[in-house]
Amino acid sequence: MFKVMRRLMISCQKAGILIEKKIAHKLNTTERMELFFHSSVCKACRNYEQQSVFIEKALSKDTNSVEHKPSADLKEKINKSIQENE
Amino acid sequence: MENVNQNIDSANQIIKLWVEEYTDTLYSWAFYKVSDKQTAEDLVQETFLAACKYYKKFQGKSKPKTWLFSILNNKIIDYYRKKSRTPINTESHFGKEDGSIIEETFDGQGYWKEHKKPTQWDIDNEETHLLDNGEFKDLLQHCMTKLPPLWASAVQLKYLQEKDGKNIGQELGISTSNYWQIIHRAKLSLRECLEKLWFNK
Repeated sequence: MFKVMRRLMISCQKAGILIEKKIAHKLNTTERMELFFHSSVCKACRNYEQQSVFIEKALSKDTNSVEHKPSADLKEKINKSIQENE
Repeated sequence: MENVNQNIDSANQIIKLWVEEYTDTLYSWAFYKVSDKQTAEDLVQETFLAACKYYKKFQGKSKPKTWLFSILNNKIIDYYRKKSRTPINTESHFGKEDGSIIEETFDGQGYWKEHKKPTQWDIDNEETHLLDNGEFKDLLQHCMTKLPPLWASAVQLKYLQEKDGKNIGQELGISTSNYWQIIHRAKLSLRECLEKLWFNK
């Protein structure tokens, strides 16, 4: 029984790739089964999925809460380059 | 001829007003996306020059800010496309980076090495708060700069354009399965970086 389960079981490395696919779009039925089976017994991969989803949210959040300032002379530089291009 | 020159003049006058008004916002966004001051300033400058060139096409169909941001985003996308092909990305370099994170993280059978297993992060209650935390976002940005150029490009292009893995893979000259591997490796690296510098600090 254990042997059979072991054979059905995908590796954590493969589970990780399936998790990325799942987040980005859909998995097919086999992939969904494989991931479900794996995650049900693998706490580390469940943590990975939760964290990956979280990183995804952080990266796709379109607001940059921190204001970064350009060099003081950037506007001047741009205006000059516009004039040169006239 | 005089008329044409007058048109150019007035277009450039308008764009100079935009320079005054939008340079800071555009720069802040560009810096957030590319994590490099000089690159961000260059991209903003190129954005305004492109705006001068294509001003006729603009004709007030959208808000100036929206139009400028769409130009800037295209410039950022171009930047990452080019970056993914920088010489540092030769086969051997990529091969090395490629193998090492997988070897470091997983054993020969592809299972997590004991000390590399993702630990539980306390994000359930804190999530919204963290996503708006400037310090945390700066750290995430710092972790992004540690990625090999091709990985960073694959991740960034995903958020800059509404494209799926297959299309981004094509753009970067890699197969779809290779694209997913790269995204996975990038996430492993980002995850570990955040865990080390934030969650287990």
